[in-house]
Amino acid sequence: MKLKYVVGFAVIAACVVVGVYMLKTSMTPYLPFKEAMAANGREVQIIGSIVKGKIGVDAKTGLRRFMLKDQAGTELEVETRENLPSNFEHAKSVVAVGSYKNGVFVASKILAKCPSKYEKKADGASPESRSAQ
Amino acid sequence: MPVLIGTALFLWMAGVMYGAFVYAPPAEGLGETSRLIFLHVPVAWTSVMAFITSFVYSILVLRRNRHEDDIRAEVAARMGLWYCVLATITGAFWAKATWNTYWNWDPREISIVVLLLVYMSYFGLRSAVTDPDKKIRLAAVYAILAAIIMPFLVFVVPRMYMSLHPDTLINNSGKSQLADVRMKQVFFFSLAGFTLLYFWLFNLSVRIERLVRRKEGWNV
Repeated sequence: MKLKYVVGFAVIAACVVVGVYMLKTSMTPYLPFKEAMAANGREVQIIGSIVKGKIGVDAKTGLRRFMLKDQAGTELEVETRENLPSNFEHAKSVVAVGSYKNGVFVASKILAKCPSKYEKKADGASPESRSAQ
Repeated sequence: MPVLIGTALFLWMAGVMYGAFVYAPPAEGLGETSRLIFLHVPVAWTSVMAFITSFVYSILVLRRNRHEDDIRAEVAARMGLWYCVLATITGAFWAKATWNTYWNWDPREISIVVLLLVYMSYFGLRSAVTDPDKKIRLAAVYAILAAIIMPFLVFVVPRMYMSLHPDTLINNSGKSQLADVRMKQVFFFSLAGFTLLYFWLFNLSVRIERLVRRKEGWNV
């Protein structure tokens, strides 16, 4: 291929990479916690990892509360009426959709990223054992 | 011979379905939804293969100016786009099952939409140009650029951002994500099956496209 084509493609590819880099914040819907807290009650999405030992359910109000930590290290308390997904404590990261009100993030939706290791289910259910019953 | 190959592939894919839904055990945590990995990942992989094929033949179009190469470039791009749509749809159903939402504009989802738009525009470009020789050259240039961006969207972006999407099978941990041996077996069986299916479908589609174009008056 002619050199001018190679150079041309390389330049265009470089422009695309620079363009995507400039649009970095648009590639993700998740705001850093500091921005979410400054969002003036606007509905936003946040993503973070669960801070261990801080998951609780308030028996009176039925609110579930837990603490998340984002990539910048900021910690944020999240509360929700939604049922937490099964295996919530083992989730690698959690997405919360909602808004920051009165010092706590009130979430209307909770999405949990499951551990990515595909291991056989512990109860050992298998086709052979099922058909033997 | 073609009937033999077709039958063999049919049996192979039937084997893949059996493997995915019966033989492989359900995963810890994800449960039965984990079976989607045997379809979702090979389909996405096929899409990548098809886009690379389109890239290679588009380079040949620029070098040799032959409509024959353009047939292959277009067919490959079309297959890539369809398989990308399938990967997105299977992904959306998996998302509903695991996160209770079909779509969340997660970085992985955003990058796949961008990829879909990029390749849909390829076909828009083709239909916008009427002169055949100009059409194949312009389309080839576009397909080459699209294929350069593609690995970035498919492989780099999801690793740059925190995402709900499960960690990719090729990652830093150094250990296989498919811990159960039966899952490994079914997965590679499926990957191989989809790869063979891709080559067979590509071959068939190229032959059909050649006939279609002949009818339309192209010199192929």
